[in-house]
Amino acid sequence: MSDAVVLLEAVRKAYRLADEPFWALNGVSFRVRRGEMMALMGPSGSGKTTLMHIIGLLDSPTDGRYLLNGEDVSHLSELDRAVLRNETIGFVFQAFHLLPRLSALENVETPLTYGGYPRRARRRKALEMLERVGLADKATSVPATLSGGQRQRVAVARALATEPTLLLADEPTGNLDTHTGNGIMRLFRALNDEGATILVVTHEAEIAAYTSRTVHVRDGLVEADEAHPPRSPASGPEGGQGWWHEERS
Amino acid sequence: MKSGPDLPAGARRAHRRRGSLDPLEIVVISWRSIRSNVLRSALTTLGVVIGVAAVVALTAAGNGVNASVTERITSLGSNLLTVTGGGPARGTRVRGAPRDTITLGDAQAIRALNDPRIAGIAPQVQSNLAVKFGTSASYATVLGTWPDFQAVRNTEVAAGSFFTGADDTDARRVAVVGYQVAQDLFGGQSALGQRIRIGNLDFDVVGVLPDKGDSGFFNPNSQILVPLNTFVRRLHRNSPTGDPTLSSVYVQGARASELTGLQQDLTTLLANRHGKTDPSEYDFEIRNQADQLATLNSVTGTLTLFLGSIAGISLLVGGIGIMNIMLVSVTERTREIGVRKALGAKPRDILAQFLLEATMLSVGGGVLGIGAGVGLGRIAGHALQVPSRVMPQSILIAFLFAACVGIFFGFYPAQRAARLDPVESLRYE
Repeated sequence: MSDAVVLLEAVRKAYRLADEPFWALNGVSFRVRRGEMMALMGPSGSGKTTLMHIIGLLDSPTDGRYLLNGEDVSHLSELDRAVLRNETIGFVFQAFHLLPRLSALENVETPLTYGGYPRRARRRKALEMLERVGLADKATSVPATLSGGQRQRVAVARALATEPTLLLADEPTGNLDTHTGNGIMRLFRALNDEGATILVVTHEAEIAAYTSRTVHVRDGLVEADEAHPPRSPASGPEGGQGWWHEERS
Repeated sequence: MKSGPDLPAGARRAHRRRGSLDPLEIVVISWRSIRSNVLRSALTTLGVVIGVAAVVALTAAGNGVNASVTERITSLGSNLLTVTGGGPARGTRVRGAPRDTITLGDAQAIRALNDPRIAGIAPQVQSNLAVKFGTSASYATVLGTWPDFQAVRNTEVAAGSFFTGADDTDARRVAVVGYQVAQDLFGGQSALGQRIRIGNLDFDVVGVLPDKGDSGFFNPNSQILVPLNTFVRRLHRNSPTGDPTLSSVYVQGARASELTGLQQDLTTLLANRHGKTDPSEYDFEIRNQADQLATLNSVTGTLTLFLGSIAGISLLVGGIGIMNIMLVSVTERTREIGVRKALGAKPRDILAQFLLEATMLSVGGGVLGIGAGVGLGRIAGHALQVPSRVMPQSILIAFLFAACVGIFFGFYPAQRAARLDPVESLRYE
């Protein structure tokens, strides 16, 4: 159990629609092991987004148990969830969700700011993260001047800033062309090789193929949980076509 | 993750400063979002600017009126008791309808008290008469009084000198003429030593009064001052009893604190002399300048408060403007709030961000408003011909009120932002 970053036990989530409870999740159990890169797949309405929100501490389960790093977080207050989210979860969204008025560097600093890091430590850490995604030279650029792939890489750097135990990516390639999207997936592979635990929510099998395990969700239940070899070996920085060379658009 | 895999989460969290967001960072975040929409922020602030400016300017004008009224009254002499004929208002009789009940004998009796609390006594009797010098003629208010008049009524002499006690005892025909009279009769020439004709008598001009300005209800510049004895013996219509009547007697107290006691003693003296025992029968009235000032000040004070309150309402409207914009802003930035929460912003961080934004807008408006208010007060004071007296208190109050308006009207929108559901707000388009 010590190697489980996420452990879900019979998690259920109800939404109230016209007095009738609607069960978006109806008893989901699975675990995410440390250092694992997995995909959460399902059609829209399957409950995969709800599941991601609960794993990401944006929402609480109606019942069932959720252990994050061995700690029961099923019934935390909003404040405790905010603090824990800041420290242990890094989000990457489909629409990037960068703060438009802040520079790339300041965007990466934001989670550190909320974590109470002093200014200099914050700046150093944020620069280090931008370097890691190959965007150190764009530190002062505002999001509007960056390409889609660059924005998503800034978002990845931001997700990594507090060194979270879990990286949650919600359709991270959904707003990108295939080529750029593949670049982002290769970046995730590289990060996973360095030890990051990554959960990718997607409805595309091609994206799920980059991971080594896919959990299929349908109608609020786990339909299948299969391990598989990743589609292609991660082309790390040393591979000729690195993830930082992709698109120019 | 570099340090991720080997350290358990609890341990990692423990050595980190689990502190909150640095308050200075909230200021930076709020300031950036104000700056990001300059026009809107400026328009939002404008409501508070106008409100604060109105409060500061109107109270300044009100205080200016107050100060100028006080100054005019005290310029007529300070610590004054005014004895007039008539009596306190009662029944249907209108207060102040003059009756010639105060006489020269009354004034002499007051002087005979030799009361150390009395600094000076200036009885007054007056009449509008034609004056002539050569071919120039004019009308003037001829006023008979004692030399004490100079001190009691705070009157300087611009040229020459005031008449003396001896002039009065001997009923000499000497006159001190007002500025306007001197202008009318002598033009550019010196008036001193000239002989003028008042009524049917010749008077020697011994002094000229400076330009005292027209106070509206009476013009001290068209006065001619002559010794009281000269007036009652040569210019006065005789009173029935032979004791000449006066229009008023001004008694100047040595100290403001003794004025009330002196007022009571003089009332007793005059009541005895006039043979009245019941205050309702009194045929005279003694008014205390301090009371008059207090009454006037309370009137102008009320006026100032009234103006300030109206201006305060506009400040309130400015506050509602801030609330309105903040509500729009919270809705507009729902997604930003969602993102910030996803990155670990606590509800109180979001609350602080929006509350501070509203407070910065209103405090900024307050600062600009104080500047505008001081300027406006000057302009208004100039237009109304009153000095503008900006009170530090009104600046402080307006400023604090503006800050409170920001906090009060900013709280609800900020709370709404803080309570937004992160899931819902991330989904918001």
